[in-house]
Amino acid sequence: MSESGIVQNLFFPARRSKEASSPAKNKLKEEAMLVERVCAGDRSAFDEFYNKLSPMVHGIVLARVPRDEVDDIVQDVFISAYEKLHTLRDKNAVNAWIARIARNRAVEFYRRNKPTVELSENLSHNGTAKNEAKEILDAIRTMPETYKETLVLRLVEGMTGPEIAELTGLKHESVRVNLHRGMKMLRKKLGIKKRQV
Amino acid sequence: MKEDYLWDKTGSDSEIEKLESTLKTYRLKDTSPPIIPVVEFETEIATPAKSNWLMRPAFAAFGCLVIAAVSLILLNNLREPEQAIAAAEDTNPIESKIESKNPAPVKIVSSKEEILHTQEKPLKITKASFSTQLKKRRQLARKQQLRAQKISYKKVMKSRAKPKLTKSKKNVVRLTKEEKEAYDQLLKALAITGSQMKIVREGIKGERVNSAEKDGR
Repeated sequence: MSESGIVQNLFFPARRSKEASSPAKNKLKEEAMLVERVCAGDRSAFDEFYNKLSPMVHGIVLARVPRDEVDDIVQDVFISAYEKLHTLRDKNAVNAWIARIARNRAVEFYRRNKPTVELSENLSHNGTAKNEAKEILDAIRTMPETYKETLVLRLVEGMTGPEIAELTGLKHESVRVNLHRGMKMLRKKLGIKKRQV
Repeated sequence: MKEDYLWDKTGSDSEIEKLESTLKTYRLKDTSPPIIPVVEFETEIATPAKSNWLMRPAFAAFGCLVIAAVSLILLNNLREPEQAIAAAEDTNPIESKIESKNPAPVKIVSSKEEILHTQEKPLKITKASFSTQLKKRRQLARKQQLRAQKISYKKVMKSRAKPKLTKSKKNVVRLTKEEKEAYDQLLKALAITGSQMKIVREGIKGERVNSAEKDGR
């Protein structure tokens, strides 16, 4: 950056913040446009909406609900979101809004159904990997809300930290902290189980 | 660094990679979006309301046609009496056809018939001035008719009139006393025979009636 540019940034911080936030603003505009198209009944817009947000919704629901019920709840979340999307006031906050719907659906699931014990799909020795995955997931589900969501989105859905921050609406620093602390807690729990085994 | 790989997957971390591979089975598979139920709900995008803007000019045109038709009818009704008056003015109102030899009854053809015809027609008079004019015309026509009748009567009477016997032109036959007495007796005989003939006829008629009544019983 040239000296004049540095001087401009020093004396005109607002201009710098505006320039820096312009790609973020563009993204918000794109999201708002997408929501408007979905509200207008554009089927392709809804498909795009689903493809964009379904990993986040799946992760949020998976962190709370047994594996067999996740797919149905994810479908219900998007159907109800489509029906109520026109009531959303701030179209830029659609991600946080649909995440809230997913959490509420998960809570309703436990309210309607009695708690059940999830059996592993394969009890033979060949299914040790699946058992191990189930144990890890069970360990993640016992964590606090903020940690388990972030870890599921990172480790199960394969999202990066910035992507998690963008979809959930959290700050980068918050996501980073959640990941760090959640991983630490998971290592502890898995380390303790390994010791027990 | 491990933290970097946890944050944005830069670098490497075996433990995290192992966890990712283990938990990959639970990842969302490529599924199709749900089938959206057909639900009508309000949107912010306003659709233009259906307006009957095409009907307004149609109604206006229909109204104009009706007004034009009514005005044409009224104009035609006003013109018909004026044409009748003009026709009455043009033609000779009284055209009497009188023959000198054969005094036929006077025939006033055109004017009277025209007047009657116009009188028969229901006059659709909308203007008061026209009605007064019509009355005047009728009165005038009547007067002319009467004049024509007088003229024609005179003519007829002239044609029918016998030659007048003037004193200078009298044809006098002089008879003697005896010729005059014979003439008188002749007249009396003729009168008597005429009355007797009447009686005979009445008698014959009475006999016929009686015979008819007898046959009827």
